[in-house]
Amino acid sequence: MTQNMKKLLRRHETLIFFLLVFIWCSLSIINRNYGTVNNLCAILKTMSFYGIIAVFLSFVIIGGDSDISTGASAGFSAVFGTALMLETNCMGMLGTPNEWIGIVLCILISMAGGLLIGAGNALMVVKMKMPPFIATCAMQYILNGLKMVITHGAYVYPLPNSLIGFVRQGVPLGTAKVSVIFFLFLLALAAAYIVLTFTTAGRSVYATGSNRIMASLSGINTDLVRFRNYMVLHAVVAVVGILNAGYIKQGAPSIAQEWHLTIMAACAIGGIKFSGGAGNMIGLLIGTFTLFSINSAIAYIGINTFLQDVFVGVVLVVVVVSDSIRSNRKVKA
Amino acid sequence: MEDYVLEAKGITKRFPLAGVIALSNISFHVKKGEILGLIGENGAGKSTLLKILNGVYTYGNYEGELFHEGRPVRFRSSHDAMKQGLGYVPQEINVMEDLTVAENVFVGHLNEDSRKKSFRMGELNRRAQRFLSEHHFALDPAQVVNTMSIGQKQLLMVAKAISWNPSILVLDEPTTALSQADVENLFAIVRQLKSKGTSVIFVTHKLEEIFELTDRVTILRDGKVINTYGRDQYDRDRIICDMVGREITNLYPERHVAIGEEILKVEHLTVLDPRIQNRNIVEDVSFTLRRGECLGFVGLVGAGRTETISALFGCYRDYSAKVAINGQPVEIRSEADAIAHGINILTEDRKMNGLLLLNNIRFNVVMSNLKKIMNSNGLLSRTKEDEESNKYMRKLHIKAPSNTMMVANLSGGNQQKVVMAKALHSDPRILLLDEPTKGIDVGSKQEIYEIINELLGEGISIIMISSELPELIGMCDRFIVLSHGKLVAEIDKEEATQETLMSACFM
Repeated sequence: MTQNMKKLLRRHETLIFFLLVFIWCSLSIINRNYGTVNNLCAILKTMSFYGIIAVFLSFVIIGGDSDISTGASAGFSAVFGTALMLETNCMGMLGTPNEWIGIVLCILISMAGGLLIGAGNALMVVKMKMPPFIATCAMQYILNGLKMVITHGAYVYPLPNSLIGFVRQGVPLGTAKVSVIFFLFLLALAAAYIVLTFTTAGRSVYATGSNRIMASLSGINTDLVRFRNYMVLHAVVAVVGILNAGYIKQGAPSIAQEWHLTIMAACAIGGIKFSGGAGNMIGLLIGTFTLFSINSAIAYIGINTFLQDVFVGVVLVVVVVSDSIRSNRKVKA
Repeated sequence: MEDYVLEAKGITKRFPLAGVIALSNISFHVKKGEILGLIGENGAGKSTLLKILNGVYTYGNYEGELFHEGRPVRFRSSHDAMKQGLGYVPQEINVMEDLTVAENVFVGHLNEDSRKKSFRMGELNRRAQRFLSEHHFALDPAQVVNTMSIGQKQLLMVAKAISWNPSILVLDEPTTALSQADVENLFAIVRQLKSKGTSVIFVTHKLEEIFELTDRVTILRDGKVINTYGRDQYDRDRIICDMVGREITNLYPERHVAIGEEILKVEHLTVLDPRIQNRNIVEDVSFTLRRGECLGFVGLVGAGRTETISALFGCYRDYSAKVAINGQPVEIRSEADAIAHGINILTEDRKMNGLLLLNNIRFNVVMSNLKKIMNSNGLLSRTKEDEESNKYMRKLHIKAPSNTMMVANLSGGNQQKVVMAKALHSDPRILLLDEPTKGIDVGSKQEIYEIINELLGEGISIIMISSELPELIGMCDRFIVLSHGKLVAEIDKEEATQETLMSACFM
């Protein structure tokens, strides 16, 4: 029992969980508006847009690659998907009771676009053997450019009411409501947890990320695993982009532009190992929650809000360094 | 007492987290101008001891004292040890590939005058030329290192260590990657150093080298000094007995396996060189393998042995061959194909491509066939995973407290057994073993041999590659000799001796 307790205490998830509890306790004392249902629901909603992408980015990272084009991809799909809805009047179903079918069709087309974006990234990284950072950086430029070509920098609106209605709904909790996006995040986490833990596909992701040669010698098609990671990621990113456009009621070209950094920070704090082969969804949930709790905290302390990014950077360093110190110690022993 | 160049007193090194005492109370000394052999099995503590001598484990991380020329020394880093006169040549080749010989030799002291910040290439080359010819190194100062052979690189590492004028030079298994000619070259340089009064600590596990080169030998076992013999007391059996701690009467266990029908037929196997155009690394190799048979692949490094079995395992995309298993022609285009056809492989470098070192035993073992631990609902089952991994831990005698032990923390022999378990988990009928006993101690070797015999008895056929001829001769039923990618001879067990096999390699 004590042995198990020790193991639990040594885990990364435990560490950031304590950090999370510390933030909530101390901030609630400093400002009583922090520890309220309203603030909690606001944090849950904001973090979920990023969190859903972080879940699927985790697959890429655990598989030994990385991707900095998620923000650009989300922004592109937001504009592309909403423009598609507008141009086709939701496949001619705008305003009819079947409006949502049209919306879903548009989202599916955007997802197909996402699959292509992911395949493009994977083609560069896996087949042309480009470093992931460079390849996805190039993709980021391409997508940002295409987005402007589509919109000429203008906002895409008005969006169909059923899309806005869907994204903005929630389950009432006290004076606030828990956003539907948070439930989608939980759903993504649960699905990813099951895939990573209980399926051969998930096992192959871990093996590919920890030792690609060993994985292929074990009969795993590592190229397929890496292609799949990228393609699924960008298909999901497309959906999140459109949902986010729905939330702000317009396909703004500025949507998600800086998201990729925040998403990577969420993965890092959540214990997804950037050298590949390790990480889990429980850590990712706590990590994402922690990151956005800190983000929100600065506003409540009443100090310069520009310090927010500095603070996030420092936390990122501390959490990741403490993790690598602990894992290095394990290897030596 | 005073003419001890180096003396170690009561060195103890513990790894408290792993609960291991790697060295306990080690004392030894080296006299001026002496070549001391340090011999021991893998895991005896040689590497740990060298890391202390070389300042990798700094003072305070171990107990006991080191004396250099009578004075106590406490190294703060490897660089510190080097500056204090302790030269060290690690086992792995570690050179700067894109720089020249001269730059590699003098890196860290490119200027003779350390106050000057700039240096001229021509001057450096001349200085390197003087230095290299003085010590009889046959190396060209201006040559870029990546064009050199492994033997030359090894010599370069020795030259680099000598350039600091050490009073003691430590060589850690320097001959592992060398050809016979290179070995003699190295020995000549070592003897010459000795004649100039430099002391040498020569670490090896090859007895022949101890007999040929050293003045005294200290034997380590289980982190303790077992014995030290002067040259006049050298006795092969006694040293082996000290190393192993028990008498190994029958290293290669007997086996009584009836060899059955032909199971594998490979015809005209040709593998294109992945890097160089119009060159084949394996050319027109044909062979057969029978049920329960152990076929040995003999050849020098670079003869194409590993490439042949890798091609058979589907690792190459550019190859052609007619392969038949049980008389049925099969197409092997990927590793997954090979596994599906009942072939599995044990690669030479288990740490590089055989294991997920930071994962546990269970995770590694089941990797080669995840379908086997699936429930009927298509999800992986922890229970089945435990059952399977525990089964192999028992069968192969993997020594670990549980199947959740991290593989990096296992000894070399046990790691190799985990790789073996992983291969067996896919239920292979043909097992390809590439240097299955490389870098593991004699006791574990014998266990691996017993496992091999057991597998042959179960009707599995084995192709084995080994650089140790006695091992091949002891284990195999038939031999195929490869040279420059071509099959040059097929030799039966009755005719196989070290001499016949070796001479076939040079045909």
